[in-house]
This record gives sequence, structure tokens and C-alpha cells, in this order.
Amino acid sequence: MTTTVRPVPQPLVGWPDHDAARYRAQGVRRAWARDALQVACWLSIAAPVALWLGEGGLAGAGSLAGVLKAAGIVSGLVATGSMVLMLWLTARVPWIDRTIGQDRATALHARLGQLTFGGPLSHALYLLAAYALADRLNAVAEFWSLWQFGDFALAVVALLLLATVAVSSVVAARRALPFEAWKAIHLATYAAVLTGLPHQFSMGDVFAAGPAQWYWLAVWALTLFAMLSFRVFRPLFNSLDHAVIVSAVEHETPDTVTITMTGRRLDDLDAAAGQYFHWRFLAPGLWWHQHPLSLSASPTGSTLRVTVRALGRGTAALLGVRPGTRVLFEGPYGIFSDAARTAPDVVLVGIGIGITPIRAVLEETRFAPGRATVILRASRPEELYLVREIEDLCRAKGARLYTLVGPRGRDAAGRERWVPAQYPGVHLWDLCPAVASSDVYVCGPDAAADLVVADAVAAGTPADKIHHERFAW
Amino acid sequence: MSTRANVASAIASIGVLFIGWQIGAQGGTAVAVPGGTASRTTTTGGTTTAPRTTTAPKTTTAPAAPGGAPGGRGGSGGVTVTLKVPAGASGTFTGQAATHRWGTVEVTVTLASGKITGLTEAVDDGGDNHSARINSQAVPVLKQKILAASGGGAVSTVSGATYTTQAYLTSLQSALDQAG
Repeated sequence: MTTTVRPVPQPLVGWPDHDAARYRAQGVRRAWARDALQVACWLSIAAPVALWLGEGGLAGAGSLAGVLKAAGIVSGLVATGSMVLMLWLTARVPWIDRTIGQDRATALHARLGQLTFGGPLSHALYLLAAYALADRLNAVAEFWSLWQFGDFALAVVALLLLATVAVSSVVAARRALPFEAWKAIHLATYAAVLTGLPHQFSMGDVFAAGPAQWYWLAVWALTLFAMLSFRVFRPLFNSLDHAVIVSAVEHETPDTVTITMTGRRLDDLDAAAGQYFHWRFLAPGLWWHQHPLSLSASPTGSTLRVTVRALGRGTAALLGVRPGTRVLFEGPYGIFSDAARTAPDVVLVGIGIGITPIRAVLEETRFAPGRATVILRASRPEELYLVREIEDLCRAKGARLYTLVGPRGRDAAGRERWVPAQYPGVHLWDLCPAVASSDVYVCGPDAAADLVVADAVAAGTPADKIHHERFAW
Repeated sequence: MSTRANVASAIASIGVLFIGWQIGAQGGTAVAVPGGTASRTTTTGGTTTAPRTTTAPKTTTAPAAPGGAPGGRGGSGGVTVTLKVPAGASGTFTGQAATHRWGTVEVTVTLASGKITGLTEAVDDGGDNHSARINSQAVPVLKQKILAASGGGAVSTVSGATYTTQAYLTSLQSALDQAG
């Protein structure tokens, strides 16, 4: 085991009231922030349409062509608003990360993406129909007439790019496309946004003048600013400033390594145990991969530690990383940490390699002896990663520890269960009777983790107490 | 996704849309620009460029019928521009060509003792069908409005043809200025 872990916290004697109150207040604050974020998201879609209405947008809607045109404009506005929102959700904005976690923001980004492609498409079709009707031309002739006009050709390119991205995302979701290929194609969305931009200001007269023009100029400028600051400059600056290098690599199992890294003034990162970073190890064959990996121990002022299992070709190369390797990183991200706590009781469920962030959260989060339950789930005993460390932490802090080892079982109805086959009737509430009022942390492969979450929901745990880290792209 | 957040989101979004709709129904954010000469034209090298109007009615759908109040917005909602006709002037004058977003307009005006009696114009729509259609419907409406104010005074923008209107009036005013 590495010696870089912070000294184990002293066992708590009794439950200090201020911690219970702190967690409760933290939960309330985050609930408000979450709600505010949701309202802001909806407003960001509604505001452009309202601006258009405010400038007399409906005035032309007296004829069929006018109605079609209005529909085209509204779908264009909604699509643009939702694309801006998607950019913000993926911009690593600190406030969004603290509020819902970057992993959830990314998942929301992906879901919006599925809905969004319909927007530009219907925008194009409605407007083509509206203009064709107004000009008494067929669709092809109208398309040709628009083609000679302004930035129409660029807009068509944008639409084709978006179509490519949409198709590739669907294919990638089915795992038929390697992650790197998907990511490269995904970068085309930036090209689509850029090529789609000119026609918004030059062709329609919606953004051409007045408050709408100022609104959109401000929105695009702010979006660009956020993307550049939080996705480019901040990670770059942090990487250079903290000068992180690999200091130790230890095999946990033949296909799992714990990588310890050291750097300068890491306290400034304000990282919490259980958060994740995007890591880039600057070694031949490795530098072009970025790995989202969670901290597997509390960060210290000089060390960060991750534990990684070789699941794909990219992570397999990580097994060979050498001490001394420079590391670029983005992060920390996520609220799979003490920051998500809302209640005095806590249940930590780790499945497979998902055990490693659970170990980190266990180390850092606070609870009175007896108020925490740790459940580790693995197919084989050697996949109970870091189990010795976890045993020590449980003993020191007074947490109950269950290890469930064996192939995944099924229930009486033949549905998959997250518990191994040898414990057929066991549910989350059997292992932790207080689960309904506990913070439930779940980390592991999505399929199994979803089953744990379903168990927690069935036990009556409210959604805002279930903290589920997704292995999101 | 708490109930509180859903309700707040719905109220906020619908509220904003409703306010927008109300403002739009009352004639847009259009506040008639008094006078108009000051904010109206910038002359550069012989062509006059119509400014982007901040109060333009936002549809480019042409009015349903010449002479009618297009799109239900009437004349009062849009921008008005005040024409100044030189007192007692007579003759035919051609204004400077005014270029706007979608084309160029050059107006020739006939005056008889300080009143506009005739208007002809050369309209270049840049070969674009959609613009041509807007122009063909908007220009007759606009001419009627101008003739109705033949001694000078406020002429309101034709809804859906803001750029054409602005350019037309700009060129016309430059013709009138020559008469004075």
C-alpha cells in the first residue's frame, strides 16, 4: 500500500451536532441551487422566443406561409437556445459542477443533444416551406433561390455537420464506434455552431437588429468566454502551475494499478475525495488519451491518487505508466464527495472498480460510529479493490462493512439483481435498515449501479439523497 | 427535478413568453422615432445607407393586400419617418440610390408647388425572389402612404418591409432635399 494517504481521521466520539446541521444546510442549499439552475435552463430557452414575440413576431402569422415561417423561427430559436445551453452544460462551469456535478451536466448535455437535432431540421423545413409558399415556387427552386443568398450555404453546411454528429452519437451510444472516433466527430459540433452562426445574424431579420441582436451577441460572447476560460485556460494554467508528475505506480491486481501523483500546492485545487479529474499522461502512446478517473484517496497538499482498472485499450496502456511522467489534468469535477451529503446516515455502495471512489468518500466524509454502511460488490474476491484500506477505515471510523462476492444473481421473476446469486432475497434495506433516511452513494458500472439505485428508491430514499456517479463521457 | 423547480420553471417561462407576447401585441418595442432625419441616414460616397432600425417589425412576410393595413399592425405601431417637402417646389428630382440589406432603391419624385404628385423608383432586389416579392407588395402600399402625406409629414414603415421602406424614404428625402 502506498504511504501517501493522509493520516486516518480520529474516530468520532458521538455525533457532533454541528456536522448534522451542516449536512442538512448543505442539502437545502444545493436543492435551491439545483432548482435555480433548472429555472435558468428553461428561461434560456423561453427568453429568445419571448424577445421575438416582443418585437411583434406573431404579426405575420395571418397566412399559412406566415404560420409556417413563425414555426420555423420558433424552432430555430429553440434549437439555438438549446445549443447554447448544451455548450454551457459541457463548459465545466464551476457553479454548475458544484450544483449537479459535471457528470450529470454532461448526461443532460447528451440528452438535450438527442432532442436538439430536430430543432435545426424543422427550422430548415418550415422556413423552406414558408418561403416556397410565399414565392409560389417549388421546394427545389426555392432552395436554389435561397442558396444564392447571404450565408445560406454555410447554414446548410452547419445542418449537415449536425446530422453527422447526431448519427455518430447514436452509433456511439450503441458502442459501435470507438470513443476516440466519436470524440473527433463530436468536435464537428463546434464547426457546426460556427458555420451556423453567420446566417442567424445576416439572413433572418430576427437577430438583425434591436434587443434580440444585443441579446444574442451577449449570449454568444459569454458562451465563448465560458468555454475558453473553463475548458481551455483554467485546466492549462492549473496543469502548468501545479506541475503534477507520477510518483508511484503499484499493482493492486494484474489489471489494476494505483497511481500516486505529486504536485505543487495541490490544496489550491480544493479537490475532495471522490471527485474525478480528466488525466492526460504525457508518455509515448498515452498522451493522446484523456482518462476520467476518480480520486481513490483523500487528496493532500502534495498528492493525488487514482486507482484504475484496464477495461479498454486506452486504460490498458495506463498499466505501463512510469514514475516521473508529467501529467496534464482537468478538474476536479463532480459532487460524488462529502459535498453531496444531506443527512447524518450514509450508505456507500461500490461495485467493481467503482469501489475506489467509495473508498475515498469513506475516508473523508463524516459520520458518527454506527451511522455508516459500506457495501462492496465484486464478481471475484480479487476485484474487491483496496479492500484492506477500506477495512481499516471502517474499523477506525465505525462503519459496517459488507462484501458481496460472486456472479450477479437474478430474482424469482428472472430479472437481474445487483447482489450475487448466493444471496437471493437480500436487498439494500436488509443491509442498512436506515437506508430511507440515508445518503446513498453508488458507484459502479451503469447497469449494476442502476439496480442499486432502484433498490434505494424502492426502500423510500428520496432522489436528492441518492448520489450516483455515472461513468459519463 | 423537484416540484418546486418544475412549478417555478413553468411560471417563469410562461411568464416571460406572456410578457413578450403582450409587448408584441401592443406594437412591439416600437417607439416612433420623432423626426427621423437625425437617426435616419448616413451618407457615404454617393450612396445612402439605411440604418438598421432598432424598432423594426420583425416579419418579412409581405402585406396581404396593397392598401390594407398589413399584418394587423397598422401604421401606428412601426417606425415613422417624417418627410420634409420644400415649400412651393416644383419639378422632377431623382434621389441618391439607397442601399439596404437586401437591395437598392432609387426614387424619382415629381413635385407640384410643394406637393408630391408622382413617384417612380428603380428597385434592385439583388435577383432574389423573396425580396422581389416583398418589394412588389410593399412598394405600392408605401407609395399610397407617401401620397397621402404629400405635403410632408409622418410616414410609417410598411410592416414586413422595413428595409425597403427605410431605403425608399431615404432616397426620397434626398430627392426632396435637391428640390429645396
